[in-house]
Parts: sequence; structure tokens; C-alpha cells
Amino acid sequence: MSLFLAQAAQSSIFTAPAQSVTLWMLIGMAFLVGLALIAGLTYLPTNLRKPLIIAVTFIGGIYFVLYWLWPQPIQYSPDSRPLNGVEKVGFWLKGSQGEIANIVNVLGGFLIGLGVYSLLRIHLSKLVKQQKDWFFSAVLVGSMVLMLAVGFMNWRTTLQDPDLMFSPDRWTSVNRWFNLLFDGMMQQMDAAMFSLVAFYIMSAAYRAFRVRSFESTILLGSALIVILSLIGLVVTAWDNAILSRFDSQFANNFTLTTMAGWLKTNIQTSGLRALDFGLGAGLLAVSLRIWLSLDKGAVGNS
Amino acid sequence: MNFWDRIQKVDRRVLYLILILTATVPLFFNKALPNVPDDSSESLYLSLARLQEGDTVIIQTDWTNATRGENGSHFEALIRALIAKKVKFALVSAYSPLAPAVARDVIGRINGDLVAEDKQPYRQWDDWVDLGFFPNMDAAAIGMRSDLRQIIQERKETDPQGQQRSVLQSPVFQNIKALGDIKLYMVVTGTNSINSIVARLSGAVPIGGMVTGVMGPELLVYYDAGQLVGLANGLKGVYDLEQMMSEPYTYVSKAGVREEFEPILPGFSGRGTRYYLTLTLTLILLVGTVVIGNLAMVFSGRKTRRPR
Repeated sequence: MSLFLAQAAQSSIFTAPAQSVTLWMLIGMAFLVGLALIAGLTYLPTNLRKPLIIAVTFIGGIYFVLYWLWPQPIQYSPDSRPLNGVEKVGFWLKGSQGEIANIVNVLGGFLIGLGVYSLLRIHLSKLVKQQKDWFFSAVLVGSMVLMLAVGFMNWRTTLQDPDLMFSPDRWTSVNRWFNLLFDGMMQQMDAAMFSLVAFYIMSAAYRAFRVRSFESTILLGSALIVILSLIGLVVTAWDNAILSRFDSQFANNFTLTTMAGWLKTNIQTSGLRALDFGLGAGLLAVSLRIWLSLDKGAVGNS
Repeated sequence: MNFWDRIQKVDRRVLYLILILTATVPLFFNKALPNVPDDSSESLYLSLARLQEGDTVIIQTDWTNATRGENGSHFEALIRALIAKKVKFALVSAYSPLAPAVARDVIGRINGDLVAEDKQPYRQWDDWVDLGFFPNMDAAAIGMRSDLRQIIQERKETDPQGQQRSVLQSPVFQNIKALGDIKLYMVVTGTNSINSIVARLSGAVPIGGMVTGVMGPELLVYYDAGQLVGLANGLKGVYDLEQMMSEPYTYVSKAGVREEFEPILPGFSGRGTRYYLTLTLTLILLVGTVVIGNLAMVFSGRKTRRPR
């Protein structure tokens, strides 16, 4: 680890003892600095915003680009000493990885906060202005606040006593409310929403999956073989019938297991590999354009 | 209007009713059906069966209830197997903030079953830890490969004395110096998050996957290439695993080497077994509807226009 980061790790916000005054002070300071930064960015002249975004984007990406391209130290340990400049950069890249990952994760956490803020802003404004369907906004905000409050209180109780999870006889009213709201309602509604897909598949299978051309016939035939290979009853009956009637290696090619295996290994995976290569190349091009701020609209130019 | 015309015009609500009955009625019958395990499921089973008492496994869980039928069953079978083999595990959650709570719920339920059977529950801190939610798993995975301990050292858990301490001090990470000391990195997911884990961690730790039937075909590419040590694909994958884990299993390698395994969970009949009859009948219904729909198109008087 580089000297700077080694020092930072010893007394950073991440290492302050839980519930300590130091931690709360650091959180308060970080909050104030964050507010000042946001205010500064808000009042920044428009002509300075673009270069700032370009610079931040480039600096943010350069670490990961160097991490993959720069020669990596072999058998690296924090006590190792670099021999030359190239090794020095390699050591820094390797040693900083943990801190960078933590920073990226903290930024990811902020994105969740941003999502919550955005949701609240839209729905609270709808609620206050009594716009169309404001009642649904009220339900959304109310559910969100209730779930947040109950979830937080439940988390506090299970943090002190992890065994509460499997001891319903010791549950308090908070645990019961959490069980009702999260396990009883939210989880079931989540599963119910996804299960609706089955009805669309059923309808599509009946009305849309038709043999209308040579290509669709091949697609249908392959799909049926793969679907049937998932049904143990059919596989056992089919394979036994083939192998008991024709006692040859050649007959083995016509068992469902072999046919489905061949389709998956030779047709499906090669097709997917081709797709993945295409996607990978496209993603690389898009990433480069974003990193170098070449994308129109990304930094304010349209 | 002939019979096939009427079949073509059948009300979709009739189809939906048939689907509801096919998907729900079999749930009342816990019937084991004949099955031929997939190669990928067998490989995953072997990776689990070869784990030793005291080994540590990382489980990345980023499924929620949208895919509970498959991933919930995967996760439950996996946790029960690890508990039976006394393998320690650490949970890592990503992609959905709901994922940690959903996973903990399953472990709580399994512990409840253990207590009801007068067995010792699997204790948080001593036997397993929750490393929590990683909003950017890509970066975390790169960091884990570089220095696992640095990435997780600030993750806290409550020890038996009620003190919040770093997970590194728990017995789960007692002998873990680097990612290479982890015996298996399991990903239970309904998304393509496993792709980035393969890209970041392949070669540093054995990676296994438990994924939905939708994601399975995409991941066979990695299994074929040897980047995944095994893959439980959809509900069929769970059923394969449950069958292999519940009975003595003999594996014969291509070189003819035999390995005998004691049942990990003797006589176990989990959710995979319970749901497999439903899956079987639903798939038969799906095949049936495709065939009937096509026959109706061919034999009905109303010809469908061929697309140009």
C-alpha cells in the first residue's frame, strides 16, 4: 500500500470506532464538506462545468485503465519495495485497489440515496400540488416511510440479538410488524408480479409460436428438444425406448440427452460466444467514448 | 366453424385457468420423479461434496423474491448442504438492496427448522457472517482478488458477547489470508451478475453458479470453458442437486476413476423436489399448447397469412 493510503487507512472515517464521538464528528464533517461541494458545483459558471466533468470522468477512469494495462507486480505484499519507476506505479496501483473499491462502493451507496431523493421529490410534489393520481403517490410515500422506519428498528433489534431471526416466540411488536410488511406483503407482491410472466408465455406459446417458415420450424424443433430434455419423465422414457430398441453407438445420438446436449454445446454456446464478443467490442467502444467524453450530450454538448 | 377454428379462437382466460390449475395443484403432491442430472449440476454437486468441515465458502446472493421459485430453492439447498457439512460461509449481497434481508430470512427459517428438530442452530459470527451489501460488486470483486482482507475488514458483525467487531476476527475468516484460501465462491442470482464475477475472479477462486433457467444457457459458455466449476440451472438444477445430495452418490470420471460420496442430506426432499412435478406438468402444457396451436393453424379454415 502506498504511504499516503496507509496513513489514511489508520484514521479514516471507515476505521473510527462504532458509536464513538469521533465517528459522529467525522460524519458531520463529511456531510458539511459534501454540502459545500454541492453548493460550489451549483454556483460554478457554466463554461467551467464541462471541463470539470471531463477531468473528473478521465481521472475516475484512468485508474482502472492503468490497472489492466500497467505491468502488475508478482507476489506483491505491502512490505515489498519497488526497484524502479514502472514497479513503483505498479505497486501503487495494486496497493490502492482496496481503497478505490471502497470509494466506488460508497459512491454506489450515494446512488441509492439519489434514487430515494428523486422518488420523494417527484411524489411529494405531486402530493402537495394534488395532481392527478396523487393518492397513489401518498400510498407510495407512506409505504416507503413506514418500511424504512420499521426496517431500521427491526435491524437494530436483530443487530443486538441475531438469534431473534429464528426465535419468533421472543419477537417484539417491531419484529412482528417487519415480518408482516416485509415477509408477508412486500416479498409476496414481488413474487406475484414476476409470476405474471407465465401467463404471457402461455399466451405466446399458443398463439405466436407458429411454424410459418423453414427457419421457424428449425427454431421450434430445437426449442422442443431442449424443453423436453428438462422433463425427467420424458427423458427417461425416450432414452430407454431408443437404447432398448437399437443396441448401437449410433442410436445413442438420438437420445434426448445427447440431442439436447449437442444443441446446447455446439449451437447455443457458440452462438452466445459470438454474441458476447460483439457485445464486448461494442461495450469497449462505448466505454472509451464515455471515458474520453467524446459522447455527445454526456457533458452538456448536444 | 370447425373444431380447429374453435380451438384457434379459444378464450385466453381458459388458457390462464388451465395454467393456474397446472401450476398449483401439483404443489400439494410431494412426488419424486425420474431424472437424469445435467453434467453441470453434477460438477457443482462434486464441488460441494468435496468440501471439508471448517472450509470457508463465499456466497454472493443477489436474488430477490421475483425469482424465489428457482433461486430461493437453490439458496436453501446450498445452505442446508453447507450446514450439514459444517462448512463456514460468508454472505455477500449485490445489485438489489433487498437481497441481504431475503437471504437472512432463508437462513433464519432453516435455523428455525434445526431448533425444532432439537439440533444446534448455525450461529452468526461463529459459523457464518453477513458481509452486507456491495453497491458496486465489480469494483469489490477486483479488490477481493487483490486483497480480500482489505475489502472486508471494515464489515462488522455482532460477536457472542454483543460487541461489534470486524468480520475478519470471526472464526469464519480465521484461516483466510487471501481469496485463494476460499474453497468455493458461489453465486446465487437471477441476473447476469455472475458474468462480472467470472471476468474478475476466474482463476483466483473456484466459482460455482446457481442461476435461473433464463440465465442458464448464457452461462453454459463459462461452464464449457472451465471458468465455472459447476452450474445449477433453474429448478431442474435444484432437483438434480437435491437428488444427488439425498442419496449415496458414485462418480466415475472419464478416466474411469470412481469416487464414492455419502449422502450429504440423507432422505432430503426440498423445494426442488416439491416444485419439480409442477415444472414437469407446466412444461408438458407448454409443449402441448405449441403443438395444438400449430395443428389448429394447419387444419382450420382460417389460414394465417405467411409473413413476408
